[in-house]
Amino acid sequence: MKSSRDLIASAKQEIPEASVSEVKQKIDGSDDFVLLDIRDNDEYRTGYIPSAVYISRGMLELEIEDYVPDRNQEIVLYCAGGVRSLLAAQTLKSLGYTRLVSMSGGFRDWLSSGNAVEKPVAMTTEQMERYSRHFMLREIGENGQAKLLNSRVLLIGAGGLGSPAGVYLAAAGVGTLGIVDSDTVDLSNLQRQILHYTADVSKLKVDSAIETIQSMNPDVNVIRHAFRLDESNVMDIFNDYDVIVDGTDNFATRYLVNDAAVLAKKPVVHGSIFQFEGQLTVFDTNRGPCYRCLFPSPPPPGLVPG
Amino acid sequence: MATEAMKLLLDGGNPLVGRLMTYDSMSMKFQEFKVNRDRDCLICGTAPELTKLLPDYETYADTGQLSIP
Repeated sequence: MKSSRDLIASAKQEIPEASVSEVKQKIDGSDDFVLLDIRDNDEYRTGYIPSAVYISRGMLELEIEDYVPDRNQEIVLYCAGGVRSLLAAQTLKSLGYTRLVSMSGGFRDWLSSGNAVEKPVAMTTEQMERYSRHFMLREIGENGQAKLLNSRVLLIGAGGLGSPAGVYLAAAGVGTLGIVDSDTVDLSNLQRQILHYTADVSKLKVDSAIETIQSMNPDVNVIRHAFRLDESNVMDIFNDYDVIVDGTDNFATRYLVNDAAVLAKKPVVHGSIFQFEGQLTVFDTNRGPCYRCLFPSPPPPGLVPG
Repeated sequence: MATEAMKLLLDGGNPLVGRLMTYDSMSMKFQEFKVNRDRDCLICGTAPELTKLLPDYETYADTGQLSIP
């Protein structure tokens, strides 16, 4: 029968190793390789090597292809001390990966050599549970959730479009939601504007939205902009946010939002709706067109509903 | 809209940049149109005429008259 020592010895024969300083050189030299952390979650939470991809060894075979589809991509694996990474590399070899390296000495050596470490953002137990379904998604994960919690989104309008967007962004844990709206809630709004409830009728929409969002997710800080967006305030407000969500219902504000967003270089998620038809696009002039590229000038008054 | 905003925040997926998605809930049909950048665009073209905000967007939307400051 094979002992664990035999297993490790055979892995050492099959898998080349690199020291911490060699790996550090590869990182600093921007070599094309994937640095893979395969430790357990509680180890990962104490800190990891910046730029590392994290897949716990338990999920390795199931998830590696999502992260590294190319079997010829070089992968440098590390664990705490350099043993599990050898065994994990052997497993990847059996999956057909060809360029595998195990970092000898592991994260312990990385730390004792005084190298930089990143820590996942500390979340409360309640947050860990609230966002646990996000953590399962590779595209979000704990780091993505931390990013969302540190993000700032501006909703222009808390009406038919702003309501569902606001509800979902708040539930998802976008940390700061600014809301611009100067209107009050009308009973006839309630059949679609799901940020507002019957008891909110005649309140300011921003105030009603704040109540709804805070009872849904106390992690969200709602910033109240209870006035109309105009030429005098738009630039200052936009500069405070990462993404603008445009749910306005009139052309004056749409052109204002577009021009200000282009000047401030902020991406705009643009939606509009009429009866049963809707439109959606993203304007980001860092990489694509703006609202004026699509609609160079406003339609004649009365021709098109807002 | 929320999903697109989250994709932008997380720098993930393939956002609807340069694409206009439309849907009609009565026929339940989604369509996608390509939207190109306009080189002659007033504000994001190669030589934009607009380099700051217009003075009055209400009047602009009503009349379509540009009064570039």
